[in-house]
Amino acid sequence: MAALAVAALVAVIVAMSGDDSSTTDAEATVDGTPLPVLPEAGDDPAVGRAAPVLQGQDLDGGQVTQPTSGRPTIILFLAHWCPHCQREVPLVQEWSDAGQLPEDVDLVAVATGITSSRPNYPPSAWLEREHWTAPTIADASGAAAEAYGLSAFPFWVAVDAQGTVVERRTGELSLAEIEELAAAATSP
Amino acid sequence: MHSTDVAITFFTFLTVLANLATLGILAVAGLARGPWPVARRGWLRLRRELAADGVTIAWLVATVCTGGSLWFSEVAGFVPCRLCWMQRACMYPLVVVLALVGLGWRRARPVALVLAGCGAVVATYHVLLEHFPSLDSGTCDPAVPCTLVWFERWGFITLPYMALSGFVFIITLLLASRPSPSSPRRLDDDNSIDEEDPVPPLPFRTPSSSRERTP
Repeated sequence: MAALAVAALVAVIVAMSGDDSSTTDAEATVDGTPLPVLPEAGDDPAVGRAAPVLQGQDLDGGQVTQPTSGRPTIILFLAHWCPHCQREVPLVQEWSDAGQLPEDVDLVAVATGITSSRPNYPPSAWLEREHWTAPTIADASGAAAEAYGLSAFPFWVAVDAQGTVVERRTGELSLAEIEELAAAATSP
Repeated sequence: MHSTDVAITFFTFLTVLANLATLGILAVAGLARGPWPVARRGWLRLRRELAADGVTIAWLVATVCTGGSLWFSEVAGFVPCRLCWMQRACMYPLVVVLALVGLGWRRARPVALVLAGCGAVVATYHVLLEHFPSLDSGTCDPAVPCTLVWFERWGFITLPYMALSGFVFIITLLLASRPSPSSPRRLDDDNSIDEEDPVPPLPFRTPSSSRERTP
C-alpha cells in the first residue's frame, strides 16, 4: 500500500515536472528590424516604424504569429515573477471577459523574462490559473522582448492594421489607459 | 533547490527567534514602568545580563545576517537588488563595529546604532514595497527589480523582513545593554577597558533610584 502511494506520488511529480517545461522552453523567432529600447522620457523613436513579426509557441503548444497584417494589435509583454504583471493579468482578463476588448483589435501576450529560479515559475501554470485566454507566445530566450525594445515590465505595444508601431508604454495600466491604447491601434 | 529550501527554513526559524527575543526585551522594559517591583527587578536583572552579553549577542546577530545574506546571493543565486545593497552596506560593517564595541571601544556604540538604524529604515521600505509594489514606479526592472519577492514563508517572512528583524534586534540589544547613566564614565575612554558590570548589584538599589534607569 505504502509502495503504491509512493509510486503514485512519484508519478504525479514526474507528470507535473514534465508539464512545466513543455511550452516554457519554447523560443520565439523574430522577423523584422529590432526596435530601439523605449527611452524613459521624451519621444519614442520606435513610433512609426514597422513592428517585428513574432512567431512562437502558444502555451498549449499551438503556433502563433503576431501581429497579423490587417489587424490592429495590442502586445503585452509579461514576466511571471513581476508583481505588477501578476496584478495586471486578472484586470485585463476581466476586461476581456466582459467583452470590452474591441472586436477589430487583437490582444496578444508574450511570456518573457522566463527564469526558473524566480517565483511563480512556470508562466504557463500562472496564466492557466488566471484563466488567461489571449494567445501567448513563449519567449524563453528573450529575443521577442529585445526586438521590441522592452525597458520594464509590464510592457505594452500598440500596432496598427498596417503593422506600424503606434505607441509603447510600460507599467500597470488602468483599463482606461488600455482602452486608449486599443483606440490608438485602430485610429487610421 | 533543496538546500535553498532548508536554508530558508533555518533562517525563518532564526528570524522568529529574533522577533520573540526583541518583543521579550521590549515587554520586560515596558512592564518595568508599571507599579510592580517584581517587573522592575526583572528588568534590572535583564539589563545586567545584557550589559555583560548584549553586545556579543548583537555581534552574533550581525555575523549570522551577513553569512545568510552571502549564502542567499552566492549559493542560492538570489541576485541582490538596489535596496538589498543598501541594507548590506549597513549590515556588513556592523560585524566589525560591534566587535569593536564588544572589545570595549565605547565610541563605536553610536556608530553601530546609526548603521543599524539606517538599515532598519531601508529594510522597512523594502518590506512595504514587497506588499505594495506600486510604492515605487508601477514597473518591474527587467534585470533585478526590488519588487521581486524571492520567497515568502507564512505570508510575511521574506528576505528584507529577515534583515529588518536583524537590525531591530541589534538596536534593541544595543539600547538595553548601554551603560547606565548613573554608573561612572570616563570622558576619554579611547583605550580604556570598560567596567565589567556597569549596573550595580541589586541589593544596593532602592526602587526610586532604579526608576531612573528605565529608558
